[in-house]
Amino acid sequence: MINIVIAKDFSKTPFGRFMSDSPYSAEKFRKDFLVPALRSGEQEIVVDFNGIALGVGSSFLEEAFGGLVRKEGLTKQGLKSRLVIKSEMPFYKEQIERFIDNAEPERL
Amino acid sequence: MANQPVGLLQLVAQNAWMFSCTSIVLVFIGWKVTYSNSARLATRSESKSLVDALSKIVNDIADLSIDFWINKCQNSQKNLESNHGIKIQAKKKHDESAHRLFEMNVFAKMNQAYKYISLLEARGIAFDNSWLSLYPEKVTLDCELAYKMELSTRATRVQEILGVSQNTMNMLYEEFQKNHPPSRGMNIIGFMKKQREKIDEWHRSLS
Repeated sequence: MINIVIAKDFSKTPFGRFMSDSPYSAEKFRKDFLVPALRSGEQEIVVDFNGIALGVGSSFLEEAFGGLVRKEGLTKQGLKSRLVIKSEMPFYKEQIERFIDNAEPERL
Repeated sequence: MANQPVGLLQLVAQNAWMFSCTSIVLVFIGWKVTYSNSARLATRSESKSLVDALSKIVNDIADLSIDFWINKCQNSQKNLESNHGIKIQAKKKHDESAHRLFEMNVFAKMNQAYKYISLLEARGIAFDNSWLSLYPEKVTLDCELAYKMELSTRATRVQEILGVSQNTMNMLYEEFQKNHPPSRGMNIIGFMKKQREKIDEWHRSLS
């Protein structure tokens, strides 16, 4: 099991879609944390949102998690079975699931 | 010895302990009914205040969204360039902080809304969590790109936000009413009429 605590490992104020938007953007989070964790072969990847100041924008979630399907070529089913979302706010999990479901791979 | 008839007073005197106990029990039952009723009314009133506060937050988020998606997303900073000591107004630059400020405001309000929802859940009023995920999504998704969008696209987004906001408000009050239905005055004559109509219908169905 790999545990990614965003507030501790990445930033307490993650923000923005692309690296050009912010040093703690979704693109950076996806590339530096989610992709290596998912490619490591571990079955369970826990992403912990607790401790983040205020909240995470929908664009961040879409780019970080929807981007796994769109840009990294990972399968929706595989992601949903391996990702465990931990958060006090119940809507992150639902939002992430919806972004993964709606994403379509950009390259074949 | 002649048998004396047992009078009512004698009966009461013989069973005085039973009457005392019964009156005490009746007092407790009366107290319990009154207490439960006032507790129910107090809970209803507190829950209503929480639902009102929650609906105010939903309204605030909708107002913030309209303001941002229609006006503030296009905020720009005037760039002043100095040329040989003369300040010249250069090309306007998009204000990057506008959408960040907007997201911060929305999430501060969403956090507060979530606290109210937890309090209401403890009172037995549970909401469908899907609005909680749909609302911030509609409000903040791609807000950093809003300044590039056409006015018609932004107006469509505002309509969607208002639609979700309206549904959320309806859901809040419906859930509240489900848990605390409005009390209706008892009308004995009306009740008797309804029962009589039912019997008449049943009688007609037989023939």
